[in-house]
Amino acid sequence: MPYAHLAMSFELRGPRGRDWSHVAKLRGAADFLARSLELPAVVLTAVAVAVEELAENLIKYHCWEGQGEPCARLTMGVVQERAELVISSQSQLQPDREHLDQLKRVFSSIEVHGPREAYTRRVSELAAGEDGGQLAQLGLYRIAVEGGFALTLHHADDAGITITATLPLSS
Amino acid sequence: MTDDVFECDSLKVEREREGTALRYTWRGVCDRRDAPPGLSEFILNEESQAASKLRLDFTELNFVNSRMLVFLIRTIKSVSEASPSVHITYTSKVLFQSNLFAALEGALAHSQSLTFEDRNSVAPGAA
Repeated sequence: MPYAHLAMSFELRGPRGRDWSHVAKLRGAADFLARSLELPAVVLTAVAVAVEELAENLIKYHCWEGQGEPCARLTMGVVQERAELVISSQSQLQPDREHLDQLKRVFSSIEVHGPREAYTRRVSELAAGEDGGQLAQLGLYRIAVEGGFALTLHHADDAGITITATLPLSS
Repeated sequence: MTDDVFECDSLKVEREREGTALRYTWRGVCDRRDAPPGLSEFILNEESQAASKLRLDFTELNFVNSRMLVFLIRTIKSVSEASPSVHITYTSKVLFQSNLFAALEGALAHSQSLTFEDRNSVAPGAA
């Protein structure tokens, strides 16, 4: 196989889990792993965008303040059999309905319009001030457009939210 | 000659007076949770509104997070409404710049004060 098997997994738990400085640390760790896997330069850029945005969203929306079980997890690795890079963010917290609806709108827009058109539409809305008070959620569009990742959203009542970003790796 | 500098973490914005025009040169990285305090006022103020032309040069801005991207979108929209002429220079070699400014050029196409220049583009017929 062209890529070695290496993976990383980080758990964020409160109250220090909400420390914004974790974002840069996670991006640095992901860059180290990507370089260890000898991924192409263009993929290194894609990894930086995906990890930055997924980690930010975890810290902003999915970390609780209390002690106890890990509330959020970021994983990254290569699935050798399919030659895919997979970066995943998992939250064990139940999102509020409004946030979940916003996430679904982002995923629906990407699916209907394609990543680039969906991103362009969102930039136009923000430039026109037509964001309706919603969160910008530009990060998810960026993962799809700048990173070239395919995105999936999984939500279950008893398991929080999982967002998975998948990027094929050419051999 | 640089007249003023705004610095916050790894972001640096330099302001230069060029006759009656103003040039803002953006450098570095910005991945803060919130927009840098004071940056909006550094860009949008009485002097910048009175300038004959604003030149915003982003070619050395290497990475921004999505929060900063939203700040840039809103700032560019605001200066395009407040200034008679705004010229934006970027490079499509940097991925976020390529996507952002291509999208903004379409979104703000109605603005007659705003022009975009991709420093990386090659003129047709150029060697």
